[in-house]
Amino acid sequence: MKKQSNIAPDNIVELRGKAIAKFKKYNDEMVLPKTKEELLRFVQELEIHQIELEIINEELQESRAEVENILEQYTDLYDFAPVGYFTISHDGKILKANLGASSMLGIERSKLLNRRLEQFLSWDSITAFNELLQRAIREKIKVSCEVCYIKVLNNTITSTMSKESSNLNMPCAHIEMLSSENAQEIRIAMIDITERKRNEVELNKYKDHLEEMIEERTLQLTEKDEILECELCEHKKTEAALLISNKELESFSYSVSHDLRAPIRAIDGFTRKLFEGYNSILDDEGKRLLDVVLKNTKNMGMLIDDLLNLSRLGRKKMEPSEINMEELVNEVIIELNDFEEDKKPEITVQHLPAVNGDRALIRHVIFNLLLNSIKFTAHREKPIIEIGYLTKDHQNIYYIKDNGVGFNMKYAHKLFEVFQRLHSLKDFEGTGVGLAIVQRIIHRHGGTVWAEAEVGKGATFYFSLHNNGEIYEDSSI
Amino acid sequence: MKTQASEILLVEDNPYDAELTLNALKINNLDSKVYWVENGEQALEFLYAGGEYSGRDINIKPKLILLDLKLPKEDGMEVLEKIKSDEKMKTIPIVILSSSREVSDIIKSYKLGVNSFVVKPVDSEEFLKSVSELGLYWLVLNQPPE
Repeated sequence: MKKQSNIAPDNIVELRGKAIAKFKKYNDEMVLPKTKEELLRFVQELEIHQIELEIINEELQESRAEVENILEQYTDLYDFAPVGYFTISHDGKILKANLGASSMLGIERSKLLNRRLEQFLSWDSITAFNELLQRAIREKIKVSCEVCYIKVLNNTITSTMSKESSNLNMPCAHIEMLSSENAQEIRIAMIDITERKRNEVELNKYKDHLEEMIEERTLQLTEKDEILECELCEHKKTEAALLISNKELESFSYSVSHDLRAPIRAIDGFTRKLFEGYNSILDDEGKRLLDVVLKNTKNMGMLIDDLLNLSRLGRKKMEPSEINMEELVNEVIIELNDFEEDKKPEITVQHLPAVNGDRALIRHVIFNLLLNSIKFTAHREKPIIEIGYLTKDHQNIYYIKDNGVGFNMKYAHKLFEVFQRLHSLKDFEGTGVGLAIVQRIIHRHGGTVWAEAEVGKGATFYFSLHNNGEIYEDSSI
Repeated sequence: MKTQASEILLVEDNPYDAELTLNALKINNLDSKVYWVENGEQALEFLYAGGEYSGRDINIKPKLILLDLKLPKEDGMEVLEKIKSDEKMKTIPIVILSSSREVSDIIKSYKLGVNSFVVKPVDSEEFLKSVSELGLYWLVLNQPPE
């Protein structure tokens, strides 16, 4: 009985009053103990009761502490939730609000209480909100909608927005509502969706814009496509025209060269007749003049014949076969040896691999190159010519090397042009078509030809066939 | 013109080439035996004793026909074909003297039965040499069919 109790003195009196009242309810009168033993037993029982009560009390305290703890946690959760929680009455008054709600609206909690929530919504949203509230109360299920609300700065409540204000820049929120069973309390969660809405608008803008951009782009590309197709068409036409033109050109140059021969022959023949027939009455100057005419017609004749050759070899149909290069080279050497009687050059032929090509045309190439070598080494005491091959970058390259007069590499790019000569006519005869013919033939075989030289030391001519792996067939023929 | 005794029929439209040819044949004294016509039509008339040659004895055939290919009216190839497909005339030796070196022309003429194909050199000296030797060969060395 001496135990402490947590109850305040006033409450103790109240408690006793309650207890007595309750006691009297179940017992008519208060019965006093008769004997000492009864009294002691009574007291003992009371003491036990007291202890029981104290135990219960302790447990209650513990529960209460736990409850308080839980309440604290709950309050924290409630208050600091990142959404706005409201508890409102059935007529829309704010009974409770969390800190989230307070900061969302920009208003101190105390100033929110007992105000209608709709005060803080936009004009357009009020109707929807009220309808939602009615529905929540009626159906007792969770309902939701979107509203626009007023965010307050400086803690002053502005009046409700008028109808005319636009919602566009107002903050908006998603509202979830659930009514209690007795519809006395309706709990609301209000989630700010302003950012989301804004992003949606932006996204839609971009989406529309994107579609526009895509359309534009597609149009652009279609246009470009058409233009390119046009160009391609044009190119193809040009190519076809060029091929025809090329063929016509070769045809033309052939027939022109061909038709020029007769008149040249006439000039040559009749001048010669004049020269021979009237030799006795001509003075030295007269003879010299006629000599000049004859020399020039001879030159002209050679040019024409060379041009004809060039044209003919360019037009001749290619007949590819496997060519034994060693055999071919030796054949040409024999032919040229018959040619030149005075100074026979020393010609060495290395082992040469076979190659695919038109034998007659390649023969021409070797003939021309060898002829050149012989021509340009003729003045040497010991003319030396070497024919061999080397491999570079997986290509077979044939070469003809001589120790002749050589040429200046500065003009190497001119070597293969028609009528280009790097030496004067009085030093070495020739029309300058030989190498052009060589190049034409090599190119028809899909190959390359080039030369290296040093003035006074000699020259080496290189050629390879089928750089692209195939024989290049002239499609014009 | 002694048409009867002509042993060489020259069919050439270019008078300068014709003159040079005669000069060449003169070297071996063969020029007097030449009869010159300027086109294929005349050549055939001569051979078959037609037109202005109706008085000729058709059985006296020339020992050699020098034939240019590029001729007005009937060209050389047609003349060649006509002569070589005629039983009575095909034995006459025909030598084509042409500016053309076209392989196709050469092959075609041989297929038609030409006896020789010579390309006219552009150098007149060579031309003289070739034609004079030609004449000598066909008229002196070669044995004619009749």
